[in-house]
Amino acid sequence: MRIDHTHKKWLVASIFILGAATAVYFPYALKSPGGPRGGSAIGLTFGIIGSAFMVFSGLLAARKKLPVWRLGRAQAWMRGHLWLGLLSLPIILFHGGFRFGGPLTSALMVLLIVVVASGLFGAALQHYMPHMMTVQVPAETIFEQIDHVREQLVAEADELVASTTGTLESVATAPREGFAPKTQSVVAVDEGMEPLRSFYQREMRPFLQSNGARHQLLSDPDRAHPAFEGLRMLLPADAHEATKRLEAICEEERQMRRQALLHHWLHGWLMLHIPLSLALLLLGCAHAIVALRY
Amino acid sequence: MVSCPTGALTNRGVTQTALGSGPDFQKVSPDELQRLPVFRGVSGTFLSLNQGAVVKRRFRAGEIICREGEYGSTAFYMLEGTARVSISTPMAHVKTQGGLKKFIGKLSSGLAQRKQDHRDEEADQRWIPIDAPVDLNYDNPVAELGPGDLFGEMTCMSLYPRSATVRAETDCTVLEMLRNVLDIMQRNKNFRAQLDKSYRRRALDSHLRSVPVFAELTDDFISSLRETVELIRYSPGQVICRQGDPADSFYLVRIGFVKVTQAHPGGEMVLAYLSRGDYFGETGLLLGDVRTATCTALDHVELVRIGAEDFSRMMEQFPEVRRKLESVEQERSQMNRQRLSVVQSVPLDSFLAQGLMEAQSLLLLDLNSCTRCDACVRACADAHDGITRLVREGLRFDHYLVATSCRQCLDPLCMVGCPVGSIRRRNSLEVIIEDWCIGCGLCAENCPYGNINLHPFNVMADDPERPGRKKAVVKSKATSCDLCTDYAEPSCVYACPHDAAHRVDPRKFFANLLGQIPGQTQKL
Amino acid sequence: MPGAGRTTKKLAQRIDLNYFKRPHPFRRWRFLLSLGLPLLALLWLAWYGLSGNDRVYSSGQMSPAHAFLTAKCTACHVQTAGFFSAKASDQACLACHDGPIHHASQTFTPNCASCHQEHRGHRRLAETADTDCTQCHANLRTTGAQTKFVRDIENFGSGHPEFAALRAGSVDPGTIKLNHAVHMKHNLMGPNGPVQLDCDDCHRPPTSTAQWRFGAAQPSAILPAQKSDMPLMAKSDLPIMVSARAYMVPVTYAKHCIGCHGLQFDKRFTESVPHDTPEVIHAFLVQKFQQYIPSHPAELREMVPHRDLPQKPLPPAVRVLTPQQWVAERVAESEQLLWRKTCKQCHSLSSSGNGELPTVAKSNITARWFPHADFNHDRHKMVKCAECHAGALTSHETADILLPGIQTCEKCHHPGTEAAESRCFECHTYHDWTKQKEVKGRLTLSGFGRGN
Repeated sequence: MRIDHTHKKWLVASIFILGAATAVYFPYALKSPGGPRGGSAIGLTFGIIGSAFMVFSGLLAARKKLPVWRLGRAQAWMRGHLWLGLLSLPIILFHGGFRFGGPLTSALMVLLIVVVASGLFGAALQHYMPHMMTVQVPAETIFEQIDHVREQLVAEADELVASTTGTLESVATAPREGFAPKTQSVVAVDEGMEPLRSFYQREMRPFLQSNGARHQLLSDPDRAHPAFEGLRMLLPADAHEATKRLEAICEEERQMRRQALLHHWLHGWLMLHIPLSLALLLLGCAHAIVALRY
Repeated sequence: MVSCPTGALTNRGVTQTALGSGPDFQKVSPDELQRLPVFRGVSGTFLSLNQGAVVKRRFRAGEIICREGEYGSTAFYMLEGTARVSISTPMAHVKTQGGLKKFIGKLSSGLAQRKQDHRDEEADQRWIPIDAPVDLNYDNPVAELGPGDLFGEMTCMSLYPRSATVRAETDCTVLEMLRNVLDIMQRNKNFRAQLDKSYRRRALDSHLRSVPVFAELTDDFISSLRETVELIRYSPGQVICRQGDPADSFYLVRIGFVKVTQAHPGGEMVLAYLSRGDYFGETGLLLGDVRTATCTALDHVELVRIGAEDFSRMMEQFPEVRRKLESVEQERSQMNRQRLSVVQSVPLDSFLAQGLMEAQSLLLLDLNSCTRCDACVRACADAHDGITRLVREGLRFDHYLVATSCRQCLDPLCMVGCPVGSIRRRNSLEVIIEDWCIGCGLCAENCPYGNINLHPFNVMADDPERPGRKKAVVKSKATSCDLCTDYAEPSCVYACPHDAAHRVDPRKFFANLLGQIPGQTQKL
Repeated sequence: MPGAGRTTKKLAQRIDLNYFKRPHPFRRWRFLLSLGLPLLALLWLAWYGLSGNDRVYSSGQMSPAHAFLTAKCTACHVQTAGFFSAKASDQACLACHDGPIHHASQTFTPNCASCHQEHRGHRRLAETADTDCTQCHANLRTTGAQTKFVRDIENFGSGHPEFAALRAGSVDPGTIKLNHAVHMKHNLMGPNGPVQLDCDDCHRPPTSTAQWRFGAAQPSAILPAQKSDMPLMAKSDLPIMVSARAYMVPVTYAKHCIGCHGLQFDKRFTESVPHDTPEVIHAFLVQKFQQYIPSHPAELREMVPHRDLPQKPLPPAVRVLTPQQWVAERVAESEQLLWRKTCKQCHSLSSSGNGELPTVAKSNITARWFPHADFNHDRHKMVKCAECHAGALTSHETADILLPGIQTCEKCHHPGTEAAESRCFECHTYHDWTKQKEVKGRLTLSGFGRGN
């Protein structure tokens, strides 16, 4: 979610909370006998508040699983997640008196820092990457369907080449769903289209089906365009429309690869953030129980 | 396809089901045909040239002659025997309902009847118009067809899906014909006369009564009308009445679709689409004036024309009817005025490229905020029993993705061609799909944006092989975005965590871009 | 523009409507990791749980004193009632240590852990923070009546009063007349010529083995053992354990004064009277003269010189004394010298005047100036004596208190990382160790150590 003027209320409230917490913490830390402690009354309060913030932040995932339940708008939850999640770090630092403690508590502190840092990173990404994707990938499709769309592009290209070059048996045509398999008929091969056919078989089809392998001729737009220009030079004029269409398909494929990469960037940090936050909550539970015992 | 004179150019998927071969298919010789009274006067040459285009078919009792929702390109003319015509789709509309508490939104879609769940501006009509000489009653959608009945006209002429299921009750003999033959037949006086007679005897009654405004007409009056009404046919694109012409008749649409437009210096504005059971022309008659709009036939249209004298007689004798007509007329004028004001307030150019001008409500995904997380799609699916009514794909405008989800078009192309007239529009301009949707999918095809999808349901229906028993079948109903009217906010917008989904009126939303102050708002 | 010519419908129809229901590798990995990592965390805890101790839940490293208990949480964390009652209570501490009460009139007794925080890493538990003390002393309240102690001390630099001994109007209660300035001066006349005294000629820690420059050459039989070689007992009620080198050996006549200040009493003898009570001296004198006269009978006859009148010589008078008379006269003369001059040079004598022995005022030399604080000279031995005891070189009066004031201490002992320790515990202790009870050892070795 982008942090813009609509967050003003949350920002103000967060600053207020942080200020209040600081105002409570410093006198307590300086004056209390023995120094600030997680188990003192104020320390425990900080711990409870911090845990509440963390649990609420974690509940966002549950809320997303029930998108239609009228439990509050998803944007409100998201804002809460961002701001309260961010606040949980200083509050927990206050809880522990800025100390890391023993094995479990050190692990918790490290986890919290990593989770908050990864969250900040993700939030920062969300300010830039959607726009980047919008600009860089005009032919964007749905990420999970990239393979499916790619298959359709391959089929379209196959058909285009087949109809242009006038051959069927030399190009492997996969039957499309819902349609009767094409009747294979031997048609006179148009010699003039041979460059197109061989280019397609040699370069383009492997490129489309290579599932993102790098360093191919057509994966670089600066090399692809001259390649197609050269192809057009070898072909008669009536094939040019088809090559333009093929070039467009290559461009779509390149864009889909780019989209996949950008999508991984935009969502990859969640692989760290979510599992670690679950571990954090679990260990935090254990810590709360045992610390209250001892 | 509609213009092909010989019917050779036809739906690919239909090719196999047209005139095939087999023991039940009997080629009919031109001589045999000409011996039939209805074929008298048809050119023998024509018949011999088109020998394969009409076949005689035999059906045993209990066999299905045609199924609702199937695509076809032939019409049937009953020679012998009786057949039962019915709609086997459950008389219910798709209703998504929530769980126990109001705020638990995991919705499941079920089928709910009109009685159980009344929706605003739902049609109260009791007769379902189908592609046959008789209408079906809502409560018991079954009727009989006998010798001399022609059914499947709309399918044959305009390639609409079959509107109902016809099953032979006794052993039947029917003539199945392609469009070229039917076309000729329609021009044949004898054929026409017979169809006319049959219509006047059987269907005019129920047809008139099916129009709610005329529910009060007495039997006597209808009998008196029977002989004076005209049945007129129009071919696609033909103008029925022109704006500015003197008004001299009142029309009921028997089959086909009629487009009502108004001319403006810059172009034609579509006011409405009328289909079977609708009527027009009363405005001019009531006001004693000229036609206020142009009516054009969209496909093969057949109208029932009631002359001005009969009309005024009706008005005098039945003041209640007059009152109702007048109120309908006022409503229509009001809507037209609103449409006019909307159109006038926004420049048409930049939107037209994508047809966004047509839309009254768009689901926009702000691509600068959207993280492509699919929360909106999941929410829509959750709210509609696992079938999403929204696809996160489409063309872009500015930095928004115009998602594939019902746009509440001003000119609702989805409504053209519904064989049972079940997709309509409320006054709030939302699309409503009535209970008798047969799931043929024509609206889905017609929608230029792919916003309509079919939702399959498992229902218990009569087993055709074993009458009297039921078996589970899959019936489809058309669904499209219903703006989650049960809730204050559409679920997709509600569930987007990044504030990227917006349901907006495009003219207001893009007012800055279009440089105009938005005019009167339509309730979305 | 790629995809141009595709309508929105064509774009939408490329998509399978159920795509979001099928697991994509991305989502699958996210799910697996979301299960796996917490599971790993649980396993980590379970691993420790299986090994029987709760070491993973420790909230910090143990202090060096208790490090051997790290694996044995139950040594201090004893569960009393339910699951949530295993805090380290005072009972646990008292199993090994005694912590006597601080003061009878304190308003509340903080528990052990409030000042002695374990699990704070490698530091001494006795090093308590100032806040532990100032929780009372910053706003001192007592259960009883008034207290003489200052009520609002924040730390050594703020609110800590001047030392009690140096408060306005205080004088040294000692009765031995001593002029430090004279003794420290250049060319002080000694018995064998001029000497320059140094501080450590009189003031040294008791463990010093060097000879006293002006002390008795050897322990003399006539010098009784000095009480003050025993461990120090403070004048107040708070005896404080001190190291052997903390305080200087008290100044005594035998060690420090005898070298220059002899107690000769008669020209007939070189020796001095013993430095003891007047009774002892008297007895000594009597004995001495009594021993002397039998070997010098001639002295019994004493020519009494009288003044010759002009032209009328008189025969010299002769006194003949009995030995007792002679002894008595000689003793009286010596005592005259002693009581009125020699002893009086340092002591305050009061005599009733009619031949009775005088009373010597008690010396009242203060052994410990700080009844409520520790001071250790040994730790400060690198500093020149006169740096702190600046007044010594110029003090003429016995009544001068030559103790350095708090400001001298504050030159090095102030809050801050580049200063000497200035926290309360450096000089003060909380526990009243006079009330210490012995703790009987009850623990066995099998509970601790390797392999456990």
